[in-house]
Amino acid sequence: MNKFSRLVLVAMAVSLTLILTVSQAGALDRLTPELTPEQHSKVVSNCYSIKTSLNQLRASDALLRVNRGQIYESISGKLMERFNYRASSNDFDTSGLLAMSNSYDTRLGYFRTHYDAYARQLDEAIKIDCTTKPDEFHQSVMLARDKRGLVRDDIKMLHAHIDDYRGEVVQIKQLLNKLEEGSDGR
Amino acid sequence: MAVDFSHSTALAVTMDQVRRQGSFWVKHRFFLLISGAIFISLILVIVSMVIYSTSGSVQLDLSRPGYQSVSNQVVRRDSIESFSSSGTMNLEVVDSFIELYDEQAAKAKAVDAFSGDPLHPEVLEFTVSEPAVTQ
Repeated sequence: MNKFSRLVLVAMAVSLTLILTVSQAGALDRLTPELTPEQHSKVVSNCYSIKTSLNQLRASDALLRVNRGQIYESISGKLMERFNYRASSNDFDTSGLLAMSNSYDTRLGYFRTHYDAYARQLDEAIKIDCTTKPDEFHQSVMLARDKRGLVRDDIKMLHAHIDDYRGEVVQIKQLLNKLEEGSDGR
Repeated sequence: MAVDFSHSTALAVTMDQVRRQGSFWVKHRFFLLISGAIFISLILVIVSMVIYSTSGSVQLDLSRPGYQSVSNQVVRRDSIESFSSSGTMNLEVVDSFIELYDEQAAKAKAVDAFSGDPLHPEVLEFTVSEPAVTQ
């Protein structure tokens, strides 16, 4: 076996390992079943309608992720970063602006990561046959619910950071006001 | 005087073997080229699919099956107006920035995204409703 063939084999092994790791990652998180016999039969009998609801939720959340994500990214890249640079190049103290925009960017990163984890979990839940494995299905949906909660928290924090950053910009405006009043008074 | 030809005979045999092996690769070079190209493309496809899946791009791809109902609702054009990163800084500039910023902030907050609890057991009809008590 030559060097190239060995390299190709190693690459294939690494790729397969990655695929298996990704597909099995969610399976490790499963909790113990906690459905009562009544809930058990309820899940089995409503399986089709629950799956339909989950599919609709998956699609509407994906749309939200794409459209909201675009706006959040634009606020960072097209407004905050540029304003910071302009203020800095005009010798303003940008420490407050930078702190706020960094917090915003960090939270945006969490939003991406948490949404990805939530969407994967929801996909996994939808794949489970709830007529034959209602307990597993229930646990998987509850995990997805927890992960969606994290995304919701990220959105709240992003909105708070948007307001905080605006507050910093207003402070710069007030400083400029004082400077202009001072120059007028002279 | 006897001449030893055994060395040259062995060399000739080896050369013949090399020629035969060479002719095998030459004969099948087209087949090898095609199978090599398929193999390399297969590896590249596997690697790109792994990247597509692990990077999170798959979650943003609304052209997948199951997402057609919402794919036409994606905002394809980013209407946000950029703020210039160069120039002077005065009240007028800050005011125009605040105006732009407020517009985008309002868009971001327009929809209370991911609010509510659609995965709550009651919403998904996991829970058993209590039978109505008649008096």
